[in-house]
Amino acid sequence: MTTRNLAHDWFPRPLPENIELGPNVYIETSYIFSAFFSTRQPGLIMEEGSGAYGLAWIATGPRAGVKIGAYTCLNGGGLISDEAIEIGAHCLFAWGTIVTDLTTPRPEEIGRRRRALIDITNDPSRRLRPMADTKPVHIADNVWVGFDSVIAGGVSIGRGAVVGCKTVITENIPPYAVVVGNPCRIVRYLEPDDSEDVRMAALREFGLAPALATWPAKGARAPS
Amino acid sequence: MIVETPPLHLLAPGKRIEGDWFGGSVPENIVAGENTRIDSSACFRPYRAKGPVGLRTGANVTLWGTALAPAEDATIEIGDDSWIANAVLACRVRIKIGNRVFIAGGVTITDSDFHPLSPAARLMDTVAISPAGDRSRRPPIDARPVEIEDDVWIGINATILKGVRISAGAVIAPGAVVTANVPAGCRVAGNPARIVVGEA
Repeated sequence: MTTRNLAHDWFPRPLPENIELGPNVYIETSYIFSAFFSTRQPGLIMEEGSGAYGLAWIATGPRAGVKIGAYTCLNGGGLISDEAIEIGAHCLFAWGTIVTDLTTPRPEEIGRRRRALIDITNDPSRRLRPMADTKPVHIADNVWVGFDSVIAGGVSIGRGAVVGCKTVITENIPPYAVVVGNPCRIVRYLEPDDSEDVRMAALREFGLAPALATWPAKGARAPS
Repeated sequence: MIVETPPLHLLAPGKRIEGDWFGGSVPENIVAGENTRIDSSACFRPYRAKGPVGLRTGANVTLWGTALAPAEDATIEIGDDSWIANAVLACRVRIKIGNRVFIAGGVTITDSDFHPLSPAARLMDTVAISPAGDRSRRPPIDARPVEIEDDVWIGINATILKGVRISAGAVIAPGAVVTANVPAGCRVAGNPARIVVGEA
């Protein structure tokens, strides 16, 4: 592998070697990887046309694997992974949004949290150790997440769903749902009009042809 | 190969931190325990304490990208082995954090409302804090100390408001807005935060 540096990056480090970037991927600064400790091959996949803008950041433990689908936009916010976060194609993430595969600890597991904190103090880099179980997160295609929202460990969000700003998601969200609040609740469902034809037309509009055929066939429906 | 993160720097009063991207220095009026580390003097950008001790930490504390914002007469106290990252500690009188407390990114802890509640007093405040005003003549602002006891875990983007005591071993779920005391060993979630039982 060769060392890759971003042109005009204000942060003086190369990109991690164990990340796989598709065509037309944008990464604003290598700063986003300042807590990227994955040792997987690859630890991160960013598919074609996806982007990490501003101070979007990706913090991972050694076992973590993160996938960001085609044309997904991370406009700030953070991904925190010790296991697996999979984000589909054409998703939008606003600033301050946190997606994590860590679960909230049970209060009675106090010994585990104490041990983790003592371990951290013996490490000059003070890398965080897991204090609770991890559960993979799966976010399907064309999901829009509003600013300062939190998507917690073990959650699946269905295709086309919208998460309002400052929402805390701790349960699975069905496709095309609009979900808001803390604790979160579903307020309505959207018309599933984001067909394969719509996607192809959008790509053709910019002279693009998708290398990936991950977009599901027509007929996905919102639950009635 | 993994990109190495530089080790965090030992915290000591009045020192400049070697290789710090932020041009500031650590204030003189702090007390830092052994092996307490910090990433940058940028943490002290909002530090206004003028008293003998504006920040007191125990040993083995980690402070990472955290806004340490005690007002002139205020003190922030942090016990041993606590870990705080990307949080805001906005302190008008006293914020006391115990031993082995974990505070995740995006957390705000404040012991005041920053401004008065009544419309007339608030209007006064806008003038007093304006470039043409005088901050020493601001109207009274309600402030009540916050205390976070040992072994508390605070999740991402949670908010702890004035006068709250979080008792030992409690867990604050991500995004929770804590407006009332939390009993020992409980988990709270939501806005406003309420006690939850079972999986969450």
